[in-house]
Amino acid sequence: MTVEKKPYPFTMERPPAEGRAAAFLSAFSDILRASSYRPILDLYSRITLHCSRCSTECMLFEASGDPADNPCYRSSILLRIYRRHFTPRGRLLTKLTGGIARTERDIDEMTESYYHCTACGRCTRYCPFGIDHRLVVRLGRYVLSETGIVPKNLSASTREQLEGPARNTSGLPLKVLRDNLSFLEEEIREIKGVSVRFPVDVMDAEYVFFAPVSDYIMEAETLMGIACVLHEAGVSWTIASGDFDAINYGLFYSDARLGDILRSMVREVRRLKGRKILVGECGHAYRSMRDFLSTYDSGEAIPVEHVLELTSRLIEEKRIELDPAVISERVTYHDPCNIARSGWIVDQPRAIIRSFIRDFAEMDHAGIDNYCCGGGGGTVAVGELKQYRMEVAGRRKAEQLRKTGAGTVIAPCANCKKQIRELIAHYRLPLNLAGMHDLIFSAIKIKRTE
Amino acid sequence: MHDILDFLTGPAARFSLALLALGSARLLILTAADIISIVRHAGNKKIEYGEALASTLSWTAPVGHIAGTRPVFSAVSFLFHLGLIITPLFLLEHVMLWERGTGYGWTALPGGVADGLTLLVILAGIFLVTYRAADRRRRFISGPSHYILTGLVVTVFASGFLAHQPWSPLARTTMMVIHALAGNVLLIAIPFTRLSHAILFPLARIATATAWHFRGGPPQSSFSETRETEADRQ
Repeated sequence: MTVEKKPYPFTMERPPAEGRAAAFLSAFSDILRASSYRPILDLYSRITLHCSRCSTECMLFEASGDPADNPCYRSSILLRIYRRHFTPRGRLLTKLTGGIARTERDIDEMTESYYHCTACGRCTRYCPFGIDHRLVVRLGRYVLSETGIVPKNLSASTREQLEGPARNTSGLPLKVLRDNLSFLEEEIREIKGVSVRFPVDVMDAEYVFFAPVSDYIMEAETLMGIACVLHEAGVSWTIASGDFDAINYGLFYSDARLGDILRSMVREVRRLKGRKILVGECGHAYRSMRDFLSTYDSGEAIPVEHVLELTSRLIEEKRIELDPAVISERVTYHDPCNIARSGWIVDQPRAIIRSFIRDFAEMDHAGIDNYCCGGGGGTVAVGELKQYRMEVAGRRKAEQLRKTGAGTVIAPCANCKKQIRELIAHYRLPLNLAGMHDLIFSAIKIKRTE
Repeated sequence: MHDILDFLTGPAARFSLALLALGSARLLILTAADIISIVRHAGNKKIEYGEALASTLSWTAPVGHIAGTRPVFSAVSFLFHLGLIITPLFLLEHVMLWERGTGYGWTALPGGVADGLTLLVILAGIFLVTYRAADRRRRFISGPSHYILTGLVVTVFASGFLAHQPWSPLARTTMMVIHALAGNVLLIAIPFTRLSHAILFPLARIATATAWHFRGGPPQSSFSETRETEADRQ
């Protein structure tokens, strides 16, 4: 059997063979039957006017000028497939005029376009009808993924997380995690002169802590900062050995994967009899838990808190103290879309910053109105998209960063950190990247000795 | 000609209004039922209705949303809709038609104001169509219906306006027939075309708020499974 090579923009674990349209439509049909997406597709098909107001607020369209990067147009691809094959009028027309060849072409277009979108949700804020293009893109990716069209970096990482021996997206073995945590404890002792623990598998803790696994490999200072805050405030917390990775790529491409990963996390929290979930410096992990835990977990909802919310509260309650003399250079703050767009976590990081940073500069669009770093929606994990992320998706963020004149940008999200680091290198920006707790680590006064 | 006009403003208008009412009721009932069904099946039933409602209200009179990267387009679009909704409801001649048909009337706009609003709709409509057609990137996302429906609105308003102007060289009755005919078509088109956004607007954001509330229950597919394509099966 010869498989015709299609010009996919990324590698896949199991690229589909010929006849993709039939497989796509079969997956689409199954998803429509098992979900509640149909009404929203009907509604959007009826009311979308293509007024194009969203387009000038979309950083992709702004940078590329490509009509295909218009959020309205992007959504219209899936909507026209829906109308063509799943509405009575469309089915009749398809019978008369044929539609499979057009759907094949649409799939090609979607494959590229739906992985250009960073699912930042900015367009929805500017749509007079609030049409949620992020929802449509996500559904399109879900159907594509059921056909095999999903970047290998996303599907392989998720497979590793759900079925691999290490149970995390990077395949980091538990033994290595424990070694890394010992190393971090040693580092804190050397730098701060106190003993701060990273507890693992402690029963009945108030918080079970989930950080993106990449933090345990690359973001030592973020983790040390968080551990110091929790130590100083006397918060009881633990890392779960069975599942410690907050990453949930299911949020970006599959309802089924989203649910699988969340259930696995909930199992660990229940095993340890933890009372709440604490999410580390990560945007999408927080949104996936806050928005979808109660969708996929039939038990009593476990409260979810972001570490920025907790730290802000601890500062307000004067349970931790930060030294305002430590950081003197200008600092700016990047709002991760998944925690800021809905207005959830906008004020808290600014309260933290005001408590110890003297020279703070906002970007030209900040908070709910922020621009994405250019690596959202899982695209930062897809190596093949790097050029697009740098030259198109991240261009606006690079301009914003340069304009602030800051020496440091805080990005409290693992995805944003990776993207902004790459942007700084690509555009030779004169600033450093840090997590919020990296700076807190350098400024926190630790008085508690045990 | 007058018989035709009487027919268009009498039985035909009643028929068009009935279709508009029935078609709109159908859309609203179906959409409301859809929203109820989504919520009933949702794993997480806590919907942020308050936010959706606040957002809907803020876009109902979107003065605060005009500033931004496209203030001219937004302002013109807003004025277009303003004239489009107010003028037909409060034009003296329309109020009189209602009074003739139902026995009920209400205060009408002064003639000068109605004329001003009508001109506003015509000019704004022409601007919006030109704006769409003038740029390659906007043409790319435009289909025939975008032009036809805006054209229809402009036709209704322009013919109505011209029929009233003493300086107009066009025959008043002919203009009125065109106006009444196009007006009937417009009324019928509302629930069956993109114009249904006028009816569905109040529910759109609430529906979107519920759409993120997925169905709960067991996983929908096993991880290892991807769809067989036709070539796989052969």
